[in-house]
Amino acid sequence: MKSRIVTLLQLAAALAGLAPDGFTASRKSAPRPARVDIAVVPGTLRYATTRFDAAAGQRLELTLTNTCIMPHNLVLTAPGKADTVFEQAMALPDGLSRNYVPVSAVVLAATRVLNPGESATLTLTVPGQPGEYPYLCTFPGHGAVMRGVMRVRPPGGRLEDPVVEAFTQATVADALRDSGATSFPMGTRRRPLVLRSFVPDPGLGDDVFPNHDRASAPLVYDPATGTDRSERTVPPARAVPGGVAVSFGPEFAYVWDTTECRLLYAWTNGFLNLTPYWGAGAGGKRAGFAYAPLLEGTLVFKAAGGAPLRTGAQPVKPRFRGYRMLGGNPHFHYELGPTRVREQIIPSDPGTFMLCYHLEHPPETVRLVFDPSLRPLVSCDTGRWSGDVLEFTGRDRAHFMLLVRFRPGEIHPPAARTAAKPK
Amino acid sequence: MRLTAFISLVALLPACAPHRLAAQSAYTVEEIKLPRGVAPEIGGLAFNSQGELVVVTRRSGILIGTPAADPAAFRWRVFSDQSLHEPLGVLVESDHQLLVPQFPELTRISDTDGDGVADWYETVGSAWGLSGNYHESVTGPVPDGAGGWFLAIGTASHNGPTFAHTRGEFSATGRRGRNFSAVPWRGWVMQLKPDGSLIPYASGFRANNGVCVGPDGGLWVTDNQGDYVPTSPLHRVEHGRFYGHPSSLVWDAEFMRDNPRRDPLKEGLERLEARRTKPVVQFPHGIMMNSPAQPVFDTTGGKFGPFAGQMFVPDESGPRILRVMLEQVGGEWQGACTFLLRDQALRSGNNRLCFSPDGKSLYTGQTMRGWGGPAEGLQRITYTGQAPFEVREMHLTPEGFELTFTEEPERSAAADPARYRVQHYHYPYSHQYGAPQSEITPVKVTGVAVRDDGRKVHLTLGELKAGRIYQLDIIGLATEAGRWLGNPMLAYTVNRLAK
Repeated sequence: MKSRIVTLLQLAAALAGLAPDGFTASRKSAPRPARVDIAVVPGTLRYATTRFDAAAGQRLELTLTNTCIMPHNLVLTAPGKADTVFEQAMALPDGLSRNYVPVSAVVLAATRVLNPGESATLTLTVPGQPGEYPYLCTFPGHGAVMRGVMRVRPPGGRLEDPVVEAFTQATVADALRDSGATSFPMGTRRRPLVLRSFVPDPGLGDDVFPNHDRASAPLVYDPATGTDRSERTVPPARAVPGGVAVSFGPEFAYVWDTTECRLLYAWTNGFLNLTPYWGAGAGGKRAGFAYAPLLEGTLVFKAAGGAPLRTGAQPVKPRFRGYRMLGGNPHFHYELGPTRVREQIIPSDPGTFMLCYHLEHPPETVRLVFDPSLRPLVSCDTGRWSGDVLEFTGRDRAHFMLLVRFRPGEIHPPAARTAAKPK
Repeated sequence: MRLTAFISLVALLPACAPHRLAAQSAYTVEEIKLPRGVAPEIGGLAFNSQGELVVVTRRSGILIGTPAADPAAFRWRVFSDQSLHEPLGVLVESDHQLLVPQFPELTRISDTDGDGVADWYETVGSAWGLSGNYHESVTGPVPDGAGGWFLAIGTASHNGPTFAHTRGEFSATGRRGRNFSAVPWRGWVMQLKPDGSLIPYASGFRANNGVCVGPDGGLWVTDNQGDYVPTSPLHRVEHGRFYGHPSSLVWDAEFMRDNPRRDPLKEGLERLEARRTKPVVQFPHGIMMNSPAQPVFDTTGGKFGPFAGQMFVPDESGPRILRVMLEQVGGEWQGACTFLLRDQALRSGNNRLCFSPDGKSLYTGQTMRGWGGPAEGLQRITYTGQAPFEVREMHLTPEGFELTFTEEPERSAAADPARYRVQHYHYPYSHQYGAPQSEITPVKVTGVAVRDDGRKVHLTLGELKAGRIYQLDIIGLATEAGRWLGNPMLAYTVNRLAK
């Protein structure tokens, strides 16, 4: 004889069933109904309770708790009628709206379809006729195997313990919540932080992105009807897809773009708030559509016009090759045609930063063509200015450094740092 | 007392918990903690030649750990403290050099000066489009056998925007659709040559978050249930084929050649159905698998249990890892899936799998943050040496199925047709987001034969149809010693009938 595992709950239910109150109901107070709790073994097509006893005529509260990952119901049927109800349920034309419960004289009671985690209680009077009353889940695909039986005993008859399969339902906690990870990363001057991500666009002109394409918002297509709808897709967001953000700490940060191969902007007094992308606290939900990180601090440089470095009369589409870390600083490698460029940006004396260039296989003349708005910010110990153009020839053209003065711009105040709400 | 057929069915159901625990004690599951401050969102896992575990996290850098028997005693060092752009894989090239796919590029991350920390981040390939959509995953790389690699380039999702400035050509036609392909090669598997050139290899994918190369060199990819994907599939990827999701066709030169304004969404279901290659295995949604990630083959030769040569597939949406038994029938790949592990202290979010060098452990890296609720972490699954009682193989025969058990089931039960419940159904392909099980049909088991060695059972079925998933539920089967069958539910995708 196989031994059975009984949960405390089931024991209580069995004991309640043995109590005499159910049979000698006084007129003053209604007898307490017997209680049976039926769970589902997670990830299987099995009720945890596959057999329980009830006394004929008693009031019964039967609670189904869906402890599984799939939807389930419970349909109690007349003796020998499980297969009939199974077939009737399968034949229902719009089963889901009927919770897969057929209208049938042999259905004694039924729950609705329960989603994972939901419960439902059936209150019924146990039939007066002793016998074996099956119950089953009529959700499609389950009814063939997902069954149990209620054994109705004569009044006063012995009620045996229910047959219950034990299972562990412990959900393993997510390890991110207590990880100490932050959505406000920051580097230091000695050890800058390099972060590759979608990056914000703090109001750069379209002429900064000649090597990108422009997105549009076309009409939405409805494949069900085969026609275009009248509404458009969500409008394109103003953010940059291929950025490298570098933080030297509160004193300086910049974003360099790997498609345009140029410095896009620089700022002080902060870095990036990544809660829209990574979630609040240690991490969690992405902020729907507005998930680009937020800039925090004061802008001190914004690119304008085309990328300054020119190896010929016309701009050349750059090819990004990667970056090398030297002394903790990234040196960006890219190619403009046959010319190989290494570019580095570092904070310098207060109120300035340096842009350092090394070129291999440069042309005879290397030019930096600045947007007129930026020209006043730039100075260089080598090269020859001609209006907004800085020209290098000879040995100077292989290595030059620009000093760029900060021009204080928009202030982006930091957001309040709230921890993620505990669940 | 006369027992009805139903009552005998109930009596067959396992009622004894201790025996069920025995069935589950083939594997232990341990928690592996990462250092404080590291978000344990696992994008890539691999071992190097020193037996160290390389852990690529989605935003907290790359750690290398020396494993220990005590899961709390791993020693970690930092190979890269940079926050990369959604790195979703790793290929170890040497102890100092890793290939890591990020959203924008495949990067070779190397320690060239020997101080143990990466100093050179080389762009190996980046010639696909990047629109700014959060769903545009890049996974792999796996070697192509010719010095290059395969990468799976996922589509974008209508649950996010594109950015105003996109890297790569923007297609307004490709932008339409629930999952969409607005910039080049989204929805494709691409072949990246060592010189950086990108060859289109196969199209029709939606969320192809898992590639692997099998022992025979075959390329396997999973996809996720969604629009035009009625239930999550396993595909064997071949050059030039289309696997069902139409948006990617906007980049197919052949498809677009005669009409540059051709819209794959307007192609019509019949033409798409005729064009597509069907999945090798379809995972029953909600029942077995909701979000498959990277498959892995058991190449441990028996160190990880009795499933050598078979495939494991992790579920990102549940505490589950599936086991897939593949075979070729009439030259067509198909097969059955069941659970390797479900629940049993396994976390959800299972994304990347990796065997330990001694083959006894399988590491599972978990993440779902940003795509669903967070389920992040790293666990180690170890074979205890106590073989589970399972269906090791399920083969299609002209009459039905042949099951091979890991050990002999109790003889009279194994020969009882009432123990085997069979039904078939299918998931209709359409533009809809997923499909319910359709035309669920019970199938009569007309005969059961147990082979002399006791481990093989031949089921004869009343009906066998191609294009259906056959679900077998085995009821109340145990060994002579009383150990219950660990995973009694199997689903076989029948693409072709056996002659």
